[in-house]
Amino acid sequence: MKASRRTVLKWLGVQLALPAIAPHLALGQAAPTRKRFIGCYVPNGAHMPMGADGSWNWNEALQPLVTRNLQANTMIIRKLHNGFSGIDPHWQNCAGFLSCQPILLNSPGLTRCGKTVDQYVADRHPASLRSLEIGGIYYHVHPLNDHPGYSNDYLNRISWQEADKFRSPIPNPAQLFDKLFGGQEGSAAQIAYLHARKRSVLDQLHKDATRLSNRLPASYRPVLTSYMDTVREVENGLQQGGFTCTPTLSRPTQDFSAPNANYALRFQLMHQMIVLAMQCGLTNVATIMYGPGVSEELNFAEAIGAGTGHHANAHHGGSPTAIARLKQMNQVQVGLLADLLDKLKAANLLNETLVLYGSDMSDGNVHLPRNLPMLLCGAGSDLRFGQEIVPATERPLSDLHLEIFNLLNVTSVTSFGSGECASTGQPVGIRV
Amino acid sequence: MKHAHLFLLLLLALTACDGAISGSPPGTPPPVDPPIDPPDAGPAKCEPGVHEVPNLLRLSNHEYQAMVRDLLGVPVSDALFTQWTPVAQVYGFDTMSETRIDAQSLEVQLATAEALAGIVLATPSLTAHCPAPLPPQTPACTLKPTYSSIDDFSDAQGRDCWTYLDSSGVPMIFDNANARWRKEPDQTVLLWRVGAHPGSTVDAVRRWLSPVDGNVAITGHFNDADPGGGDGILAVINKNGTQVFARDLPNGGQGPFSLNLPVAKGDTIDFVVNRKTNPNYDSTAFSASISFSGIPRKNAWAWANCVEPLVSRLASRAFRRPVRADELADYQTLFASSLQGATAAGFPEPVDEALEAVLEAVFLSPNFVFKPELVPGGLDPSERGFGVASRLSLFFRGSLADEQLWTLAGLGQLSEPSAVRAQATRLLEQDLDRFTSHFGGQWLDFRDGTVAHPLEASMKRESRDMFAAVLREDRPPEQLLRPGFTVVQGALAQYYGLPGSGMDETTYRFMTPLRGGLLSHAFFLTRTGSGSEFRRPIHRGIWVLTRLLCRPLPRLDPATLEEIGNSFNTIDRTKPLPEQMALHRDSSTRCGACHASIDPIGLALEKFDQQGQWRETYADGKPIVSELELDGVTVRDPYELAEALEANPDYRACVAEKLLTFGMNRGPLEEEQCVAERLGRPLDGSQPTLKTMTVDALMKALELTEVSP
Repeated sequence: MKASRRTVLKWLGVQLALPAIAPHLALGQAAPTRKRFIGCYVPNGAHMPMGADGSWNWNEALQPLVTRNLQANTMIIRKLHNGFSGIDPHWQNCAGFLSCQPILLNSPGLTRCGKTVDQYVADRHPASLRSLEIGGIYYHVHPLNDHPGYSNDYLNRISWQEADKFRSPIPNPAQLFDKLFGGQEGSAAQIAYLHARKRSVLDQLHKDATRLSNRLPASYRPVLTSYMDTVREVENGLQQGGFTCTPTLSRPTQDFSAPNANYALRFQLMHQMIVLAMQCGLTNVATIMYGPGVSEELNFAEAIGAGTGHHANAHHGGSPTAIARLKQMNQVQVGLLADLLDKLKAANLLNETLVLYGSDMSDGNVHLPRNLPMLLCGAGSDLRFGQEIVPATERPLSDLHLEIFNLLNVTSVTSFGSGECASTGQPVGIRV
Repeated sequence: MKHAHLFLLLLLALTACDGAISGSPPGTPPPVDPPIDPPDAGPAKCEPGVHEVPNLLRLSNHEYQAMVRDLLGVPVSDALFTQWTPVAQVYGFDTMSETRIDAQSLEVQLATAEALAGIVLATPSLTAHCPAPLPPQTPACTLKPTYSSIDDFSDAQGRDCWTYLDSSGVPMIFDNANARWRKEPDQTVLLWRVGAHPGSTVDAVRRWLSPVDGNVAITGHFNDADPGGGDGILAVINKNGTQVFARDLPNGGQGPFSLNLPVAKGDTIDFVVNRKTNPNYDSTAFSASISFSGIPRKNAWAWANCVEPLVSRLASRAFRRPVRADELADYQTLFASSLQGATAAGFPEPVDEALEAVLEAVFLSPNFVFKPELVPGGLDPSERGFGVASRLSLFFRGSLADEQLWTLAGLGQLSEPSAVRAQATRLLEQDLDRFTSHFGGQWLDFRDGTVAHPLEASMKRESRDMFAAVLREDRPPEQLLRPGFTVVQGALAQYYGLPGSGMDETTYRFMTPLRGGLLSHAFFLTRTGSGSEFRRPIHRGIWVLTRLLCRPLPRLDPATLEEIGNSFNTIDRTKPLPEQMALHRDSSTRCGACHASIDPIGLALEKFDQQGQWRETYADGKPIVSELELDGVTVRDPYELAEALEANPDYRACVAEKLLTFGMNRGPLEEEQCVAERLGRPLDGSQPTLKTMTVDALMKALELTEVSP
């Protein structure tokens, strides 16, 4: 088939030397300039009985960070809550993890939540690729766990560019590889032609959408307006190419078609590519879903042996075996965070990056969305890395989001979240 | 639960199970009291108004794939679609989503469109109307885009189309020691990598042979490289012996050249260095670069004779209405500019490149990937017949219109309801398998649902085949529950313990009261069977309530969630499961409201184990006993449950509601509740079959969502 010779050349043009290793910030020096953000989500909470701190501590769930000497780059933040009463936190606190906005229910044709932290950061620190989203396989919730009016999309997307437009994560390392490093064969003139042609096609789609939009009553237009924005974003990506990012790995060939096959490798490879994309200056923002909301299918069999899936296991009902397994699951996923932090550190990016890692609930057994398991990772002596931050009172997660905005110089946002989850504006206590 | 609640619940999903759970999220309207029909006042009016589809919907991924396959008429690999972003189901169906298309999704779609364009180009039948491409030529020597006298220089005659001769036509001999070509006996005639020297009687000639028909752009130079004396040289380029360039260079002179020539296969281009009057001081620096482009085989493919008919047909069918003049003009412009660019960029088949651009624009057009025909303004008044054709095709085929329907739409013969009904009936019969998968497969989950079992495919197939049989054989919808037969492959029959079955893949039809109904299908039972002992009956109960009785369950509010959490600690796990589950119904009205309906269903199905096999007792020997009532009817086992559902007035209304929803492309309104009830049980007392209900529901759906002119 003719198409086989075509993979899309993404980043045509100037060869970029990888940034020279910047001098390390010595401890005690001024705050580093941070411009990157990575948001990491895990579902189903931890073993935190009725919202107690439980096993969410350095010795148990967070052991992988300690083992890999990353405790000094991590702080535990307590007493944060997210979510809205009457809305199942599996859906709400996945879609709303980075916005603290309620999901729209009972209008299932359209998913709506709120613009997320990562996307505000992407506005503030633009790059050729607005942001990268990665995750596992799309999770079609078992129809029996489904609630009427709850879209599966809420379980599968944590990044929202606009209130009604999520960004789909890439599930397959090979697909991410092609997106970042895919090349095209042909002469320079031919490659330039193929780029120009793609822009012409996109222009035509935009024109079709405009024409169609003009025919329809106003209430039907938002979906087309959003579509036109998407067309322009893809087109801008083509135009802004300015880097050749040389891969440090070959195109992954392992089987990633099932959620449990090569579970850790899926993320380890994609971590490597995200870090490389950041090193190359392709992007400043990423979000990672280490599992979709609920994640009934994930059982981490490769790491902890076959057994009950994540969600069923989190509803342990007090069973000691299930609780032990849940703790192991937490460690597997925190181990992935450790892998990401290791790679950021090796690339000398940790100084300029904030990594937020957290879950939708504390005690998954009872769906409790208070005292959420939440970590903030990075480097710099201006923040209380290595410590446990315990605010005097319970606080909405949006207060932490605001702190992140502040640290990343996102000045446009001064309050965040809404309703029960609206920010108070009070410091969470993460600064020295 | 009263019927009147049904639609209200769908809309608000605030409370169910008789409203025992309180607490509505902020911003939702308060529940409205259900209307009360006056007693014995004859049949209540059921005349809901028209409500257009409120959103501009997208094609589902399934619909897009089906349409692409129907459009191209050739196999299209599933692999082209594996990276597509899933489209969530709405009201149980993926055909009515308006979720936004984000950048990642669009990039994936672009890659697919490119591959689809490649398929069109690789399918000669789709371009059979275009002028025949020129026959392929066997190159006379190595075909390359560029030839260089320096880079290609070698010790072999004919390599890369170059030969090394004297002007009498005698091939020269390679001198390995000096890495150059020379003549015998006159050893002054020389050709080396970057130069040439003429002899005293004959000239030094580099010859390039054209590998196929085409055009060449030749650039390079002859420079006298030895200006110490002599009379200079004469530099000549001949095509087939005829001079096309000559330059008389004085001693030390420069001779650059740049030529564009058409060439035929086997034509020769000779680069000749002549001594003039003497061969002294005649070493000549030489280089030639030949850019070669063959004659494109599709040179005669133009807009009018090839591209327009192809694009016009594909776009019309893809857009489900004739392509409009302004759209076609756009495509013509896109083709022309892409063709010009591809020619300039030196592609061997510029037409292919340009055609690809237009095809990609068609395959991804919003006119294709959205469904404007469902909403006001989407179609011109003159195109309304195509809108009807599309509604019928989307419903029965999950795709675009077939030839007959398309023709009728074009002839304006779809304006009468009787004509539409006739087509609906025809399509249901013709495309029964498609409808089974598209509608039945989503309603009953056997299209996309999965179970971890070696017999998964056979299990899903049983559900599919049984649904298709009830439809095809014009049976009433009750027979989905108790058909009296089942259709299974050998291995599944053996799994069920049915007599005389083999292990082959042949499908057998068994007349049996024990297996066959939905509730005895291994697929349903396994799909709902996993998880803890508690979860199995709960899941099965919920499945039946939501899918067969259209009774959605309420959202779990925090207080209920807390009660569920606490209940784990108060269950005596040594008791038989039915006794453990009694706690659900007895502990509080909050839990009992829903479990009063869930548990009778789930426990009645306990004689089917988690993988759908029959059992008389639990593994530990405890008896499987349940004597609960569902809507006042005792249901002790799967068969009593099937009978009870069959007799339950909500069942027929629910089947009709699913069909109506699917046909309307939007959720049902409260005022349309009566429509579903009457589709299931018409006022004339008839009991329509599933097939009749299907056609009736579509006709009603068209009426209720008709786009006003």
